[in-house]
Amino acid sequence: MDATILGLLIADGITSGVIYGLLAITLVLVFTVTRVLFVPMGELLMYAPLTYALLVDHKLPGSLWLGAAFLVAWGVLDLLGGARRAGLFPFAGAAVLVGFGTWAASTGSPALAWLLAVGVVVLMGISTYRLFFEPIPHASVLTYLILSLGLHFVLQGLGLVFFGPEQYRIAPLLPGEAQLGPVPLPRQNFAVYGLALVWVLALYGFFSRSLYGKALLACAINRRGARLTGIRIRDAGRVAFTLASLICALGGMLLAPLTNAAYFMGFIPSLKGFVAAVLGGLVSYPLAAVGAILVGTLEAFSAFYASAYKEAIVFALLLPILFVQSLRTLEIGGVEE
Amino acid sequence: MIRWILLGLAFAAIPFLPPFYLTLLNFMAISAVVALGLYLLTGLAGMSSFGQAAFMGLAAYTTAIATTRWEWSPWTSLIVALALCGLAAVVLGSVTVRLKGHYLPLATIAWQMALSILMGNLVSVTGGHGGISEIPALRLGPLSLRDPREYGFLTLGCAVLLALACAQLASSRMGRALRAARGDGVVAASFGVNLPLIRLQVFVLAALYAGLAGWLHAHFLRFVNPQPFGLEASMRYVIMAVAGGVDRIGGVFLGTGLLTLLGSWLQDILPVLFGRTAQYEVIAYGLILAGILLLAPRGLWPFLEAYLPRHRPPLISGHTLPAPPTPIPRSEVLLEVRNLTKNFGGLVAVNGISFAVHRGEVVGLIGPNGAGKTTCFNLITGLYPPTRGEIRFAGHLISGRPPFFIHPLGIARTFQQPHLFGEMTVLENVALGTYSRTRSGMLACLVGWDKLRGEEQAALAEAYRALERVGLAHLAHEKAGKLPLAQQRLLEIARALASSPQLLLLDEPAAGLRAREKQELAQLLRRLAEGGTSILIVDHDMDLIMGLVDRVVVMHYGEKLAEGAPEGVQRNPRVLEAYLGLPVEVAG
Amino acid sequence: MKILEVRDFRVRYGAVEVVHGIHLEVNAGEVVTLIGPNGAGKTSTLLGLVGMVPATGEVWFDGKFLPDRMPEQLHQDGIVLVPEGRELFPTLAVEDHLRLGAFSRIQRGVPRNEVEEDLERVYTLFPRLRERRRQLAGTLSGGEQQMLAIGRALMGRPRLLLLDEPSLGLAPLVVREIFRILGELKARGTTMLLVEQNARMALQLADRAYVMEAGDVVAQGPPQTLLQDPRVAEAYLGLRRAIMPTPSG
Repeated sequence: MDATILGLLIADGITSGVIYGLLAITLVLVFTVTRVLFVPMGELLMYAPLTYALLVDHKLPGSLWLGAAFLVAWGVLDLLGGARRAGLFPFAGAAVLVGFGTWAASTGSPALAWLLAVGVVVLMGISTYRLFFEPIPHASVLTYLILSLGLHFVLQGLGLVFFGPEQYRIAPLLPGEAQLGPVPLPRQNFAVYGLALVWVLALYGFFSRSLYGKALLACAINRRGARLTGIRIRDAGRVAFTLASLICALGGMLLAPLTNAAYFMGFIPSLKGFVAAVLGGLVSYPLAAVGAILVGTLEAFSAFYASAYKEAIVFALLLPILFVQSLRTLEIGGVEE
Repeated sequence: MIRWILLGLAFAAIPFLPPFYLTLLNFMAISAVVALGLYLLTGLAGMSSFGQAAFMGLAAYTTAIATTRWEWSPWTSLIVALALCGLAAVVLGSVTVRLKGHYLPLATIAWQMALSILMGNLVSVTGGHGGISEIPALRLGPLSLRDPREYGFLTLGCAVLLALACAQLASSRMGRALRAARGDGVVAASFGVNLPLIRLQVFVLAALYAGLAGWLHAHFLRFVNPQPFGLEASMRYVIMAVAGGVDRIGGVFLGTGLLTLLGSWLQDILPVLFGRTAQYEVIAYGLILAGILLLAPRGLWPFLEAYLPRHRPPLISGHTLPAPPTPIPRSEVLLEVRNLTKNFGGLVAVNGISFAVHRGEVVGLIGPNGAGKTTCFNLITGLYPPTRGEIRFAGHLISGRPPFFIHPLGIARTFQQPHLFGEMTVLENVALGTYSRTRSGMLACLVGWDKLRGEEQAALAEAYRALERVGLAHLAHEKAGKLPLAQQRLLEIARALASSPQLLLLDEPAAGLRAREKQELAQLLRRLAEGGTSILIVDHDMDLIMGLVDRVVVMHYGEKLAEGAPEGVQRNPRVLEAYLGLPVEVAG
Repeated sequence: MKILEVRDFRVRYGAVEVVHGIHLEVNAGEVVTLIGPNGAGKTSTLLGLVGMVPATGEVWFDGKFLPDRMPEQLHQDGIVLVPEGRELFPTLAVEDHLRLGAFSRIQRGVPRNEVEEDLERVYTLFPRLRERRRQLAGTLSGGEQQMLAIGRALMGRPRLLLLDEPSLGLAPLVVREIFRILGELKARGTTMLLVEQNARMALQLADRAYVMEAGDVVAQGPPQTLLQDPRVAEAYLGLRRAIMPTPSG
């Protein structure tokens, strides 16, 4: 274990930690506002780069059709609920998606593909909320979790159908390597660090400065109080899911050049994000970030010593974390919310 | 009756089924074993696990390794496999049972993933993704259990036996305790149930069921690999339990049967339909799960149940339970509250209050909203510990102890909003009150020992007697959810009486009752007091309180404002001022 | 002009009906109070009015019939509730609360300077809140929290302000202060429906009062009349003996 290796491991740990941190704080955001444990994050993470890869290859990916289908279902639900004009936007959105997608596929332009990849994931994410979670606002956390898991399987299965089992190579935004002391680091890593920084600052600014962000926080802190203050929980939920899908899309696009992208590769990172978020009791952003660095570092070092089991170790980490949490809980009860 | 006929048919059909269906039958039976574990865990206790397949895998790999590498007998390796599953469940369960409900499923997912990874990567031990083959077949003495026909008797037999055990457990004191432990479990704890312990026990039990299924799987296929023991498989078992109806044994079998058939059908049809091999079943399962949750949350069984003959209620007769030991009175003071204080963060809810309840007394605790009465109650029954001060019952210090410690000493309570279990009958609800007077543990109830011993029958007889005392005996076999409010309140009192308490704590028993019902309630409470039960009652109905109690304690801003006989308190100008905010001239 | 009319209003929690078909009216500019002992159904009435709990009956607001009521929608229509327990956001600052009170109006496009004027007005009414504008709500005293809850509600420019037991858990001096401020609001013409257990303060403030007991309205009228009415004292302290049997019966 010399300085170079140590440096490499730490760099690895931090890079992973940053990624898990992004996922973890997004999980906390969605959970505190909507009480949904959003497992399909992993799939959304992969859909963006995979959609991009197919589009630049002049193919029309199935994910666009799925996104369009979700939007159509949204429109139908709205119309059934009695809306008139508002009901047309989702249909228009679906048409735009498919039309735009066809054009992008025919030109193979990377810029268009980027736009569409991010766009389709964001639209998919917010439609998921609208279709599956919004209609049952008073369900228990457990029901939402089971629904989430179901959606994870559906999206992962469809991922295989749309994109096949291959791993795709995506060209990095920042090619080449930089030398940080003894440690060589792909420049693309900095794109990821940059995204994380921007995101954390943006969220911080959103929550601390904009009234909209405060309204979201209010929903997370006290639902009843928020309703009585005239804040619509439904809108807050939509905003939370939009933000979450945006980070999945952007994160996925920036991450893919580092690790390649395949339909199944998103699930395990999202679970690690969960482990990190649990450290913060699913409510604290700073603790979730700390948990993420912990997870990333532990994983990097485990990879060095026992590479096949590094993930098993990370998941096993959940146990001591939960143990610590349980010591802090003295109340009677605890099964249902 | 019908169940037995169906069962007989199922067994009799085994020799005649073609091989494909025999294999399917074996898979169905093995899945049913796992799903029955989920019945106990989710259907009864309301907990969720997405790691049952991991327990299966643990047991399957244990027996595979032990029988192929070390040439153990499969029966020996069964014991070891079950022990390992039990141990893993204890570790996993003990860190989660005190936490909020969504932590357990998260923990089981993590456990499931960790195990899946190990199964796939520990190549030297587990054979990696290639798995372990040539697992020996089972032999039962001279009988060989090799081909699906013979094995079918084993798996179906296991499923049936375990289902019987589940049924025994469900209709025992443990079954009642588990059902009561759902939700916030406050009622369960208040009647002596040690919540974390029984939740841990049922989690271990479910793990053992899954372990047995894993062992059966290994010796059926005589081959193990990681694939059937992954997260998808766990999900499938959850869907089997939930789709059928996880709170009924029949529902579990229905779900298992339907989904096994569906799975087999999907594997054949979908690739043909889509022209590609992919994990289509997975998509279908996810959609089914979402559909069930959104459209038929109680599963499909309730639709079938309407056509089945109604379950005949048991005959209630015979001995009741032996009376609980009366703690030797060290004084005539039954309950003593001294300098009791409780802070919630910055809010002082109760501030240095002291009062006592003597043996045979009826004491009323009154005060304006926010005066701290409910907090006092919760402190006495142990829902949370006081910040300062002490509470003594029959001389024993009880402040700071948990409800399941305090209740068996002789304190029983009712709740402001009736906390009843609507799906259970009136009798079963009241029987929960006998929990602290009975002793059969989880294992004993599984095998029906509590009924063999006569303890269960005595508990039911005791419950019936309590119902007679409150005048509800004629409704013993009705579903509790159907009762109107007045009778729900009587039911709560009967449940408290069934524990043979020395002190009854009543929390707003008259709230929402009409005048006549309040009258009848008052008469009942008078009878109970004359029979020797001491009562501490909180209520806002002054007519009821003043006509019923021997003494009144008035609270205001968490402190004792006044104390004494009703007439005196009613004329006390400070009391009037506290309530009305104005001094009132009272005539007479 | 009638701002609120409620007919045959019933509230149930599961099997329990706690409000048995009452009638209420509030005219513009009036302060009407709902008094009565605990468990009378006063809070349930308010909660049912804004749609936090299921209720049946007819509710007419400013001539408009309101069948399915949700608190978010009513806030927009101009009915704002200051709930029992205040329901604040402990980790948000005082000024955040007040601005959030105007959130739904801002979303509808109300100009910024109107909101700033309203903020100024609230701070003038509650100087203590101005002093503590950056403080987190969780660190305020009970009285300040109540003021904040009222201020937050006022930022929504309600046409009808509902208040649920504003004196709850507060020391007598603080209660006096709160009611003094409510008096100022009344002088400015704010229409209020006030639920209170503290009959004295409520009757001193109100133009009209309803007395509730066990889910029914047992008396109503101008405060002076009610103060002399023995039924009020009875409702609170059970001086009526006729109904109860004697202990040996």
